[in-house]
Amino acid sequence: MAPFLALNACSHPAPDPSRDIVSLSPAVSVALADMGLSSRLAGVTTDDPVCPPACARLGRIGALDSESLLALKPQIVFAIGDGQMAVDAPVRRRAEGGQFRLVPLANARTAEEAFAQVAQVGEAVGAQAQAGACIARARGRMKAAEDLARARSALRMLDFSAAKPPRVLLLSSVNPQPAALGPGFVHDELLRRLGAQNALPANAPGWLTLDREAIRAMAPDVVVFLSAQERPQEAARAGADLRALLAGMDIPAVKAGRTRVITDPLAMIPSTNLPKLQESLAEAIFGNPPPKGQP
Amino acid sequence: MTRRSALVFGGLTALFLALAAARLCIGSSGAGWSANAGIMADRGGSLLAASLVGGALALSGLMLQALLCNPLADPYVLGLASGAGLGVSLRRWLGITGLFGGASLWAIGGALLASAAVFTFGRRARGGKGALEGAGVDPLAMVLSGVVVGVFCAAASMLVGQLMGPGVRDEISRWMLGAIQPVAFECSWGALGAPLVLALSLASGLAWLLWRGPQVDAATLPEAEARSLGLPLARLRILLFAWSAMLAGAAVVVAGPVAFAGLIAPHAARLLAGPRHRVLAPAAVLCGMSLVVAGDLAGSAFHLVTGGGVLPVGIFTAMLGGPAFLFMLRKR
Repeated sequence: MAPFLALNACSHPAPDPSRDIVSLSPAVSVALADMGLSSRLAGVTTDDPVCPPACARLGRIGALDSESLLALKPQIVFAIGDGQMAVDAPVRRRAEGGQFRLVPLANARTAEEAFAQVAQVGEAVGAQAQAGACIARARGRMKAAEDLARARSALRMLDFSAAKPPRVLLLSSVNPQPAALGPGFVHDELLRRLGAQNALPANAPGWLTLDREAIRAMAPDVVVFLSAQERPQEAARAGADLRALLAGMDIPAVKAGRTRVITDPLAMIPSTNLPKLQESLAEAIFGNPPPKGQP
Repeated sequence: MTRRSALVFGGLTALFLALAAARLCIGSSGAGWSANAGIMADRGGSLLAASLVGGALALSGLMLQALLCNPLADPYVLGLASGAGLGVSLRRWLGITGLFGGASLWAIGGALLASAAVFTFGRRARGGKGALEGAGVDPLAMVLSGVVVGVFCAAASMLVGQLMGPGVRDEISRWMLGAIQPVAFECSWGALGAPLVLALSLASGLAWLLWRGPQVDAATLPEAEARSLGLPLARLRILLFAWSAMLAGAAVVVAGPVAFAGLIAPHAARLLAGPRHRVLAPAAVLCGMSLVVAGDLAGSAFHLVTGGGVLPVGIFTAMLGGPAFLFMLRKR
């Protein structure tokens, strides 16, 4: 019995008063890390790319390990939406009972919404100044990336005409079927800020499955695959998958060698990481094309 | 060939050719014959892949139904497709490339292992004394074992996806819906490997069934009657199981586990062509080809009409096959 009890006692992470935040949204974790507050993170979801040492993994949204969450005795829990999806009834009851504060956050669809969320997070954790500094830094980097893109566009350092914005196909997956990001997502806004245009029509849904024919008919000037894979072999595979998808296509992007894979675990997370993503996109769209055969 | 058989083959061939022509004329980017050779090559690649997948799944389902004397048998229901899916997922997780890194090899291996598990547990469910005594095949126990093996393999695939991170997990989830990977004529020989394996499996399976058709007909008789005809039942069953697993595995590499195509096509063919496997096998292949090509066509047409994205073929076959399965289950 003793070993069983010992094992059982170890099954939940021990609470640490200095770690008082549970983030059920990777965007919040990223923001906290950028504010220098990741040491306060007690728990994150399984898919969260930010997980400092001693921080517990609490499962996925919809299948959260509520017992472990409660065992951490957090002061603040950040959740998506009103928390209905993220946390189950016992956790919500504890929050209503005042054991901790459940902070609901909306999904950000624009960069400004993402920054407003960062400000909200800063306010909730008593770090308004750090949040403000983070937002200012992010806005500055994004402005710089936009200015550089415009300058490159004006200098005609492009394979396509500077008179019309380059049409960019943003793929969020390639296998088993290619899927593209359309209007209504922050990525579409990033393209517009850079002076580029989404290859999908304006009335397309936010996420669209395609096939080779649809891509061929769109004839994009640039194809960017946003790969959120973390494992090195998966990142290498992403390039091979994109090459296979576009093989033999006589579209402007392929002819000009403007097909690129951006490997970034935070690529789909709108938060303070947006400037980095925007810089990567600017490089993919306006930078020098990679050597032939290397997306 | 009887007049009825000729009529059936004529009708099924005409149906397939009509669907093939429609697929060549309707794509996600527009309707009508395209002047762009690339677009026509893409449509042709989709058509070829869908035809091969449909034919292979139909033949696999037909073999399983003959083997188990059970109308509900199909590579999806019996877990062969999920086993193949697990093989492909494991290959990706382990990052195996080179000589033993072929997706077809892992998919066929996974399907064979799944079929071996189904065969083993299906036999032992009644201590080796099933309804079909001797070879110990209990059709009902085998279908139940197949369902369990299928659920286990699907769960294991999801676990592998979970271990590989959210990106791959989502990829595996979508792949499990079944989506045709068109044969890309412009690609390297390496990319043509999986469709080539599928085409060879289909051609050899069909040829074997045409050759051994009368034996397979006899194998569907009650055990005692089949034995009295001097049939090597155990060998025939193992061969049928192995071949159906190979067909299912090769199809899964090209399209993922397409649900119920292997169930509907043999039944439709049996209704039209009767129970003799020499006639039934090519009819089932034509039905399977038509079904999956129709699903692929519907997926592209959906995007063309609504702009809502190209839908995976598995959605349509599942929508057709689900009610058909329930209807047959009720009838049984």
